[in-house]
Amino acid sequence: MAVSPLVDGLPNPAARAVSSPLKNAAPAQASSNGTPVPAVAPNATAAVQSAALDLSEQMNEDEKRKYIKGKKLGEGTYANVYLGQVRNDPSQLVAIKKIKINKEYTEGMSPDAVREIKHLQELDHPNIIKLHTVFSSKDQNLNLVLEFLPLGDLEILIKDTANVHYGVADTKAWMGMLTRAVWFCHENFVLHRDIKPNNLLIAADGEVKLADFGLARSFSDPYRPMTSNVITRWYRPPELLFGARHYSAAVDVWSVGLVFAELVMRAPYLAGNTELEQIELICKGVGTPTEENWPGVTKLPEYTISNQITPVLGKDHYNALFGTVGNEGVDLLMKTLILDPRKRITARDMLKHPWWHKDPKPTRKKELPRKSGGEGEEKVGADLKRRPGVVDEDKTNKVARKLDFGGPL
Amino acid sequence: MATEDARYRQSSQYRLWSFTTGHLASLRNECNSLAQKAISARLQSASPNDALPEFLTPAEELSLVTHYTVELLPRRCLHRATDRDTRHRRHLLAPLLRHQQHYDLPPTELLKTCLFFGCKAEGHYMRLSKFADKFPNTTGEEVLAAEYVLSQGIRFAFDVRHPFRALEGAIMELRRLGDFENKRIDRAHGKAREILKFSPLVTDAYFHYTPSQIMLAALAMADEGLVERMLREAFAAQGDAAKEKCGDLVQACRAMLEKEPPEKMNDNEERKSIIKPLNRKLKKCRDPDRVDLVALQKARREQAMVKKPKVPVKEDGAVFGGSIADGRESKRRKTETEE
Amino acid sequence: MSRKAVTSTVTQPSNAILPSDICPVCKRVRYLNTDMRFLINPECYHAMCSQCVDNIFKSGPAQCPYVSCSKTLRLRGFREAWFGDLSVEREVDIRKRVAAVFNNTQDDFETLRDFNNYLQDVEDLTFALVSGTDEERRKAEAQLVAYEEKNKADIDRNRKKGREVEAARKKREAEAEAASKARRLEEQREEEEARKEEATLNREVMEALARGEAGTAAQIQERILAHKRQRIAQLNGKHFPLPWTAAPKRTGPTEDEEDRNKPYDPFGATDLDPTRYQIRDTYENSWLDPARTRDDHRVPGYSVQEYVARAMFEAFAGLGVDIDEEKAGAQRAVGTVGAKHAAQANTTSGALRKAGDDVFG
Repeated sequence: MAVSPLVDGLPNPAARAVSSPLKNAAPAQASSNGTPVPAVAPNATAAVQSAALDLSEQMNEDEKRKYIKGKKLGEGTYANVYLGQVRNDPSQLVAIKKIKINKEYTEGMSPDAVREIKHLQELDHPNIIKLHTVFSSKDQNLNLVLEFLPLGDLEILIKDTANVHYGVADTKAWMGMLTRAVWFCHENFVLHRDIKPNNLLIAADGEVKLADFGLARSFSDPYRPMTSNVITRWYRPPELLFGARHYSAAVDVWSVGLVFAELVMRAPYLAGNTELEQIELICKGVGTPTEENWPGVTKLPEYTISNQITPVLGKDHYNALFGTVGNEGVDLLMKTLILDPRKRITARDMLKHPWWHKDPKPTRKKELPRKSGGEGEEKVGADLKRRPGVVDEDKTNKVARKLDFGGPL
Repeated sequence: MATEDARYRQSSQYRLWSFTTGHLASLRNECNSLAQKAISARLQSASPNDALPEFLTPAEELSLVTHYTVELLPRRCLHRATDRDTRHRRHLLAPLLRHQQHYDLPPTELLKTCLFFGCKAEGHYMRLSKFADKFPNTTGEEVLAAEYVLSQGIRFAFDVRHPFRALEGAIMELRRLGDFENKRIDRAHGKAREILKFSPLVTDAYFHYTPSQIMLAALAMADEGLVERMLREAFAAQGDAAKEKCGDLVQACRAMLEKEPPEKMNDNEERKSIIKPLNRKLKKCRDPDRVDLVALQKARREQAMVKKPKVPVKEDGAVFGGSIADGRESKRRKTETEE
Repeated sequence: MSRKAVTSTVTQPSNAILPSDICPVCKRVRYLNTDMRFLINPECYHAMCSQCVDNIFKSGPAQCPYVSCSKTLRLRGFREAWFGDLSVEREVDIRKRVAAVFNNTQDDFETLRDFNNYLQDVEDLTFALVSGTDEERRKAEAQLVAYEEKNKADIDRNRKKGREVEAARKKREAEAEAASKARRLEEQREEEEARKEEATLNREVMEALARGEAGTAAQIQERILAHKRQRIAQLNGKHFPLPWTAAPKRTGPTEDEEDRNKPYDPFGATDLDPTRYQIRDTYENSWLDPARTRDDHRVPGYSVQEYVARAMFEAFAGLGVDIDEEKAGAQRAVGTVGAKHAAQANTTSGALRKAGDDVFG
């Protein structure tokens, strides 16, 4: 019954007693599949049934029962995502991410899920996706109840050049939200390690939220190595491509810089097909890492560059490609793409950069461009809009009534 | 208002795992009585004529847990990992072990799971088979069996904030202030670490105090003067009232830790004499459903693989909610609406 | 609008819609002429493409090419329509013209009743012009021209007065805008100052200590702080938002304007700066030294400073949190899981509570 849309569908939660091993005892005496539960006499009283859960199980039940699972929104290799409603207030929507059991993975609970839960439990910021709760369902699947973000992601906007038009003020607003999210992670000693446009989801009110913490980890203490095989290749900084095992928050800043470049160009700036090609593209598009611009770099375990050395590209190069963001904007971009991670700007210093205060002022979130089409989701979006206390427009109400969440039928 | 405190209040440790003394006690009582009820029912239905065994009291449960926590400590020699690693892992256990009831799970098994899961949550993976090899007579399956129960038990709050890094911070700050000889600081540093490795784990300090308070309490046990100086530094801008309040909390925490000083770690004789009868008692009243966790786990998985069972199979649906009946009901309702 | 062009607006009421693809006169289609534009002449509002207009009227006034229409049109009178529905276009033209003539304001009347009667008369006349029969239209037209002749001086005076009022309004708005901008700048400056003040505070205390001023360290600290605190409190009271709280609501401009005028805060009003310690550049810690120098840490950017920041934060975070006190209210007399549960939900972060979420960490 893993994917029944009606998992929690009874309108009155009280009507459904907490399931217990005794509940179905009467009709089925034969335990054909080797279930270790002993046969149970049917004289058990109701009181005993409800006591059959221990405290943590009861708490889990309580969490689970707060939500109604609705239609499936998406399916991935690692998880399925469902729309959900808060039982006590069905106008409140959530996304329920159900982690799939991986038969091939014999090491127990998926480390990605563990990492995601661990870090999202601790991070509470307007630009980071909110984890409302976690519960496990009967088939031992983990369910993450997340903030519902209906307006797609930045990648969709970047790619839809035909229908979505945006300018510097919009780019600045999005960059501001992204940088604040990354800054907040770093201030809380968390490396995200997978920043890219399609992990930047958009809330109904236009707020951009950093999501997918499946690769995140806490800052490592000295002498404790980390893996270098993180961050999607196009956004991976040179130190990781060179096999670094001890690195800093600067890895995320490089990714932020490349998202910035992509927002302006509306195409990935350095899109390598292999790791070698990625290094090659960095050499050409930023500059070749050498002992001069990055002392010690040649000693990194996987340092390999071709013979042709490009000196670090200057402002002219960036002006030609990214000049629309203005002088200060180009300066900020260049500082995020400094090869030597020790010289790269930090997220905190990014927020102190003068660019934010130059004209044009960042667009207000409610005025930001949105993706075109997607009628159903727009409706949901309109409905969601009411939540933070935005004016309750007449139109919104009408839309809300038409909605079908596939919830309790 | 200090940003540091506001930020600590956001942590899951504060939100989910901090309790008043009275509340913690009532939780333990509730756990205990829930378990008694459930197990009585199961034992009775299995063999209605036998008399019910005598159950452990909440206090007895707690001593058992404390015992197993102490047991676990020397295990670190089994690991190649550095001292620093083991700390994290052990500290992941602290909340769970001291909060949950343990009728239903064999404590030694749960401890192994804790260690393994601790590694995972901290991001140091060890292959399961490699991990299991380190324990005599242990298979990977056994280690994993309790993983879900454990995660659920700690309400998926995987980030346990321990006081060790805080201690390093305090020591650095004290050295920088330069009011004390380095020797004195080093001595206190070493002693405080020893205390932190033991005392907070076998007391309820984690539930009632913040890591920085626990750290200062341990430091106060080692050298009161250093703590005085730290507090003066910390509260220079926040006034004497705030400073005194914090000082009181540190002292209260210290009193708690002093009941279980690290010297007691090797004092196994006394502990064992208490534990033996308790263990005997536990064996009698263990939850019959969960004696064999591996089998239970397997059954659940198999059950989950069967997409739509034609005949309702009897299962232990208790643990993870939503029994077969739900599936049937939803299916029926669905057809009705289709018609 | 040129008066001449409309003095004789006696046109057939037109229900025509502006064509979009085919010119009704020459039948050319947009498909082959992508730059096609349609023009109208307010004499009769018959639409045709710009090429037709050029061809027919370039050499002087000519008759409208529509078979049913006998108007004589001039090239000068042609323009693009503002509305797709030409009857609307025509009505708007008429209303503009009428309003330019009957331009009295309420001040020109003794009583409100008089003013309302006047408005009623004007509306009746306008309606006759827009939707009346030929006869009614002609009559209304005559009335309009007569009124215009008779009250020429008044009309001019009113027009001038209207312009002045409009200019005064614009000036007022500009002044308000400038004042709010100045206010914003001033606030920014003060905020900046408050920040600076606070930043130097700790440094000065340290310096005083280093100079070895009279008294114990604590006394010096107290002295400087007392002085500084006063000043900071002054500034704080006005503009410095407390950490984790939003800026106080002001009355006056609407929330939306307020929002628009707010200076952009790249940090999004979140303050994470420590209050109990400052991160220094170096700390004595021999355990950290290899991490500072070893190539496998140094070269790929491993930051000892990040570790230090974390250790310091953990040493000072939560010192002022009194769990027994803070959790007491929420957890009192909790006997059941449900109640306990509710208690815990209450203690979740402020942001969550604000959004009315039902949350359990």
